[in-house]
Order: sequence, then structure tokens, then C-alpha cells
Amino acid sequence: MLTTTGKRAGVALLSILGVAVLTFFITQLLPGDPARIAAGQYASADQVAQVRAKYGLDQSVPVQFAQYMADFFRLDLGTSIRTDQPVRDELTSRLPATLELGLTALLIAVLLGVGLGVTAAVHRYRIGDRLVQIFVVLASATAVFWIALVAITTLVNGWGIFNSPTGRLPRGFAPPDHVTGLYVVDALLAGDPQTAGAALRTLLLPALLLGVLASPSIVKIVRSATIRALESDFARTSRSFGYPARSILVQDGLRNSLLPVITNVGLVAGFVLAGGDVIIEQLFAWPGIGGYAYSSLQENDLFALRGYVIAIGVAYVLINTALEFVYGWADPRVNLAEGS
Amino acid sequence: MAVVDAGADLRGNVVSRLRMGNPAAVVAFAVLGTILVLGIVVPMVAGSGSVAQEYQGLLPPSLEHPFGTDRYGRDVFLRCMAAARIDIALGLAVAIAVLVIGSLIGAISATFGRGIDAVVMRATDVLLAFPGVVLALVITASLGKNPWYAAIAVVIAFVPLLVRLTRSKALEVRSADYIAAARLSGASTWQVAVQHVLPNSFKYPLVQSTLVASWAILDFAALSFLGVGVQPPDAEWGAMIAEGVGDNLLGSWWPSFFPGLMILLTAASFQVIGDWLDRRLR
Amino acid sequence: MSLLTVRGLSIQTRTGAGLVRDLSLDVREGEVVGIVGESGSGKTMTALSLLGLLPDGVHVSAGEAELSGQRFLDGPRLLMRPNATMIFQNPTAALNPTMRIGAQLVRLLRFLDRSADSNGRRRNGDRHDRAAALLSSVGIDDPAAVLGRYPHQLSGGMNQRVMIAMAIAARPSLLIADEPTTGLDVTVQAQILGLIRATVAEHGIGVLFVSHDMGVIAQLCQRVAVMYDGEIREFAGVDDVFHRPRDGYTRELLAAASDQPLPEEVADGTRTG
Repeated sequence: MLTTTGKRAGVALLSILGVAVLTFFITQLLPGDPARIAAGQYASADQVAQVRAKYGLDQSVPVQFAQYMADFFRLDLGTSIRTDQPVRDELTSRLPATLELGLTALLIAVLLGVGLGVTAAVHRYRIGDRLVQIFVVLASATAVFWIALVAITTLVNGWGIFNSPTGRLPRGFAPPDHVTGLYVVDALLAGDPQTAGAALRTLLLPALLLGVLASPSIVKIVRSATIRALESDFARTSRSFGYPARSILVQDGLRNSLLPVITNVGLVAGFVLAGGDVIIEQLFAWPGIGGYAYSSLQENDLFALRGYVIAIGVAYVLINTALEFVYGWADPRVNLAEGS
Repeated sequence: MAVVDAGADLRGNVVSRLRMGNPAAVVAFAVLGTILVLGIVVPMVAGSGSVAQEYQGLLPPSLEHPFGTDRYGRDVFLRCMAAARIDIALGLAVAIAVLVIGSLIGAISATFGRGIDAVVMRATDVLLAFPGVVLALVITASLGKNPWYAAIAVVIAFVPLLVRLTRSKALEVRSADYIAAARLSGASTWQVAVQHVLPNSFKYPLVQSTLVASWAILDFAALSFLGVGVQPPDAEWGAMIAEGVGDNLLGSWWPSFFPGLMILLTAASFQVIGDWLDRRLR
Repeated sequence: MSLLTVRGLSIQTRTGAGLVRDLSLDVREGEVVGIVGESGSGKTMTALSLLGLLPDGVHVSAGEAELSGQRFLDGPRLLMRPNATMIFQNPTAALNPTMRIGAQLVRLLRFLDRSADSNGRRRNGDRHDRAAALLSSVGIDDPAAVLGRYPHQLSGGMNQRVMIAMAIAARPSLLIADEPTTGLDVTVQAQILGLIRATVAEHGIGVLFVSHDMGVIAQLCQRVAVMYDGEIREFAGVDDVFHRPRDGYTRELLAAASDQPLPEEVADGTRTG
């Protein structure tokens, strides 16, 4: 057990190092001149040179790399060219917004994925299953930026079901006192249900969009695992004793199909916290790290984008490592799990 | 007799399942074929380029302009079809590139083992440490805002998946008896890799690459939407949606709606075909 | 006194292929009746059909069955759950891999308590003790340890004991055993057979014992039905079947079991007669 723990931790550390190295080499290829952009379009060659010196861009690549790795180990992600602020601080201050959106979306994805997967398994090879399969194909073929536009046109502008995509709160609401950084939670803690409700209504649409589009992989995995469990020998044993269908579904079906979901959550988290998140935050003016990445991208802010990518890479490695531990802890068969 | 009967029943089951899966695959092939044919024919007969601004701006869908016109007075249907060529060709090209590169590296890694395998595995570990789109995004941003770079970035983002898949399948094949026979008869490691391991572990990567085509279309459109892929005024579904965002907020939904619908139809068709192949080959 | 009576049982697939045709047999109280036949002969399907456990796409097309004089199976309809339980081949797979043995026993006991007496609520701690007692009753020396284990941590023989304990807990009048010793070591196999025999003696229940193994059948059963291709070829006392087989297929099966082909069969060349 100890050796597996050590091995996993070692692999995670190696991957994090790899993330840092790879990110440096990718961004080093950037053909744009970050110094020229930072100094401004009309800066003189002298001013550009000054900026270049300021960010160490006049050094040789090995020296830049050494400096970069040294900063990385000190958890320093560099300074944004656009805002002249430390990238780490900018990301940290924007993180709660992304977490509030991403975790809600993750919750929706898991609930929807498990619900639909189990429904499909119970109605396997029949009409209910077919309908779920159609949902899976459509949801995994839908571009998040397109469905978000359609949703804003119809649900917000057309029918007014959700609040306008103007950030985390509608106009006229002041953010609650900072406790967790999650507006809904903070507003409730502050005893302000009105603000909490407004925050939730604003949060719901982007979270639903991310969650629904992230759910197909969970649906697929839950469906096949539940079918396997319901057609297993042990489910037959339960039926032989005459247990109620509900008990068989929960104890024999769900119990065994939730395990593979754990490994899949990492992939889904990648979408709701990073991939889909960049687009959704931009379209909904959500002040999180995805929107930050978008602005940095638009303005060729090399250091900010690099910091964002490192942070996402490291977070992704940590999430997946944590999930491996959870899986090992949740599945009594750890060693047998590979084969099944 | 009973054994034979049970076998016949099993076969009956498989046949009925295939029959159930078939209509979806037929529809998928039909949809994809239609879009592809229109993508080739429409721009040819239209007589004008997809960037020509020759109509009144923001006309809603009508018989003359089935998808309406955009803010610059361009026919959205014509642009959607011109974009179909780019997007579908790109999806297929990426899928093929990923399939070839990924399965080659995977098969080599599995065949040679040891040092090469360790290096390949660590490299895929690191590449898979990023969510795919984020990796493609930073690669494109670093290389420059250009559709070719975006395509390369998408390939790089998906290759590790195929490497892993081919490698695990190849490891199963490698331990098979006929590989041992080939080795004993004096085939070199390279010969074994190319002649035996690769073809026999090709099935699963092939199915997977159909799905990669679907994902690649989505990711490429996303990169264009974010402004690092195809640049305006060129027609590409993702870029068209990005251009249509402003119109959309002002009440003209069609310039951004139809390109997204095309993405949906195309990506869904590839998914259905992938599922169908999966069932056929299994 | 007949405990289980099956008349004219036929089992079909969805495509209409017959797996079992017009099968009739009976089990008396305190009696072990065997069904023997090669794989695919329909013996397992027969056993599963009595508890409504046929897999998807397979169903009873005709026939009826009674237990203790009560009709419970009428063609494709299972009228009620017969007071019968079942133990299976591959006991490790027959137990839920994500639940400890104790939890599975408690789950069964809670279910049984509820169905026996809707308002009688017993505490879980009490059920835990009863679970331990059940395990002791099937010859498990250290019940407390076994209760805390997962099925994959136990041997096949141990898991089959657990299954038998669960099957007895429901106080059935009939136990259906589907190849319960196949795949177990010979010594373990003997112990499990001994346990089944002891259970019959103690509780006076009837057993329908499905096996492909003539040797096991000879040790355990009073009467045996020989099945081939979905039909019963011979149904008689074990002594008669073993020493005075009337059916050609039975003779062939016996010969295969003893690894000595009967001369006239080989010369004849006909298999089914």
C-alpha cells in the first residue's frame, strides 16, 4: 500500500515537472514579440528594449529556462504583461468564480450522467435506452459556444427564464462578504437569501450548459456498468431471494456502477474547469480564470496565458491523482478492478 | 442440437441488434454525404465566392437565402457549405494523422518495450496532463493564429490517446503465439512491429479515430471561435459563429445558428458511424 | 408425498428455438433429485425457470409447476415466488463484490424479517449475531472474520458455504442447486456435498441438484433425471439409472464418466438409439 502511494505520488510529481517543462517549450515558440506588445504599439525601439530587459526576454533561452524553473518552484507564475500584476495573484483572486461555476457544473454532470445512465440500463435495448443514446450523441456533438448562444437568445432574451449573462450577479446586487468566495454560499452565510437567489439564477444557465455537455461520457460509462451489474451473477442471486427491484438497482446496480464514474470525473473536470469553461466564461462575462485566459489570448499576453496553462495542468494532475486514491479507497477489489 | 440452437439464438440477437443500429448509421452516412456533396457543389454553382458581400445585410431565412444573410450581406447557406469542405476535410485529415502517428508510435512503443516504451509513456503522461482543448489552445497561440497551426495542435492533443490505446492492444497482440513464431523464424523487431503487431492491433484505433474526427471538428471550431484558427472573413463554422455573436445579441439569430447546426449534424454523424463501426468490428 | 411437481415445462428463446421441451419431474420432501446432462442440454435453464431467473430473451412457453400443492408457475407467468432458494455455480461471482459478507447477510435477514412480519422491527446488531450464527451452522469456524471480508478475499468453497447459509436462512421448502461444486477442489467439493446432505437431513427439505457430473449425482441423489437436447431421456432411481440404464444416451454418459466405452455402443456407432 505504502509503495503504491509512493509510486503514485512520484508519477504525479514527474507529471507536474513535465507540465512546467512542456509549457515553457510550447510558449517559447510564440512568434509574437511579447515585449513589443507590452511596451505599446507606438513605443520606440528603446522602450521596447527596456521592457525586454525588464522581463528577462533579452537573456539566452537556457538562462530564461533556469529562471523560469526557479520561479516555478517558488510558485511564482510570472507577471502579466497586460496588467503588470503577478499572474498567480490574478488567478487566485479569480479562482472562486471558476470554482463556483465549475463545481456546480460538475455536480449537474454527475447527477444527470448517473440518472440517465441508470435509466438507460433499466430500460436496456428498449425505447427509454434509445432516447438516452440519442441524447448522448447530440450532447457530445454540440459545440458549447453555439448552444450557449442559442440558450442566451431563447432562454434569456426571448423568454427571460434566466438572468442576463453579465457576470456573477445581476445589476443592482452587491457581492456578499468574502468567506468562501462562492457567492451563493457567502450570501446565505450573510443571511441574504435574496442575493443568494439572484446569484444562483445567474449561475444556473452557464452551469447547466457546461454540465449537460459534459455528461455524455458519464452516461455511457454508467449505462454499461449498470447493465453489466444488473445482468451479473450477484444480481441474479438477489433476484433469487426475491429482493425488490429497487434494492437490486441500488445495492447491486448503482453500487457497482459508481466506481468507474470516479475515474471519469477527472476528464469531466477538465472540461468544466478548463476546456468548456474558457468559452462559457467569455460568453457569460463570468469573472473567472477561463475569462482571464481568453483575454490573455486575445492580447498575446504570453506570461498570463503561460501561468494559466501551468495552473490548469498542475490542477489536472492533482485532481487525477486524488481520484486514483479515492478509487483505490472506494473499490475493495483494487487489484481486480483493472480486469473487470 | 441444443448447443446449435443456443448459438443460433445468440446470432439472432446480434443480428437484431445490428438491425436496430443500422437505421442510425444509414441516416448518419446520408447526412454526412449530403453535407459533403453540397459542400462541393454549392460553392461551384454559386458563381461567387463565399466572402462576396453582394446582398442586403441580415436578411432572415427565405427561399432565396435559406439560411439568411449575415451583417456584411453574405449568403449564410453558401458560407456554411463552403465551410463544410474545410471542416469535414479537416476532421478526416486530423483523424487520419492521429491514427497513423498514434498507432505507429503505440506499436513501436509496445514492440520495442524498455527504454523507448518508458520515454513514450512519460511523454504521453505529460501531454495527457492537460485537458485536450487547453493544450491545443496554447500550442496554437504559441505557433501563431493560423488554421494550419490549429490543425496541428488538435493532432498533437489527440495523438497521446491513440498511442495509449494502440499500445495496450499491441501488448495483447505481442504476447500472442504467432508473434513468437515470427520472431523464431528470424523476423527483425521492425518487421514484427510493422507486419504483425500494427495490423492486428489496428481495429480499436480505427474505431477510435472515427470519434476523433468528431471531436476534432468540435475542437477546431472552438479554436476558430476563440480566434486562433481560421481567420475572418474566411468561411469556417466556428469562425462564423464568432462573427455572428454580435448579430445574435441584436436579435438576428441565423448567422450563428446555422453554422452550429452544421457542426452538430456533422459531429453527430461521425459519432454514430463510430458506434456502428465499433459494433460491426467487435 | 410430492413437494415439487413440474409438468410439461417448455422453454424457448425469443426466436422460437426450443431449449427445453415438455419436461416433467417431481421432488419429494427430504429427497435429493438430480438433473444430469451435458452443457446445453437445458438443465440449468430448467432450474432457473422455476425461480423466474431466465436470462433476457429466454422464456417459459408452456407447462406448470407446483410446490407443496400450490401452483406457482403457469406457462410464461410466475404466479408467485415459490418458497425455494438457489445456490449457483461460481459462488464468488454470485456474491456482490462491493459488499462485505456481513452486509450481504444482514441485507437478506432484514428483507426476510420485513416480509415475514411487517411491523416487527429487529435491530441490526441482532441481525449481525444471527448472521454469525448462520455462518457457524454451515461449518465456518471463524464467522466474525468472514463477516468482515469481501467475497474476493475468500475461497470459492468458503463463498459457497456463505451462499448455502443464505439459502437456508430463508427457510425454503426446496433448494435448487445449479452445479454448486463445479470448479471447486475435490476435497472442498466433498465438504460442500456433505453440507448439502446434512442440510437435507436437518431441515427435511427437498433438493433439485443440477450437475454434469455422474459421480456427484451418484453420491448425493435418490433419483435422477437424465437430460439431453432439452428433453428428459430417463427419470428413475439412482440405482436403476446407474445399474440398469434403459436409455442409450444414459449408457453413453455413464461410459464417459467411467472412461470406459461400452463395447456395443462403439460397435453400433449410434448415439441416440
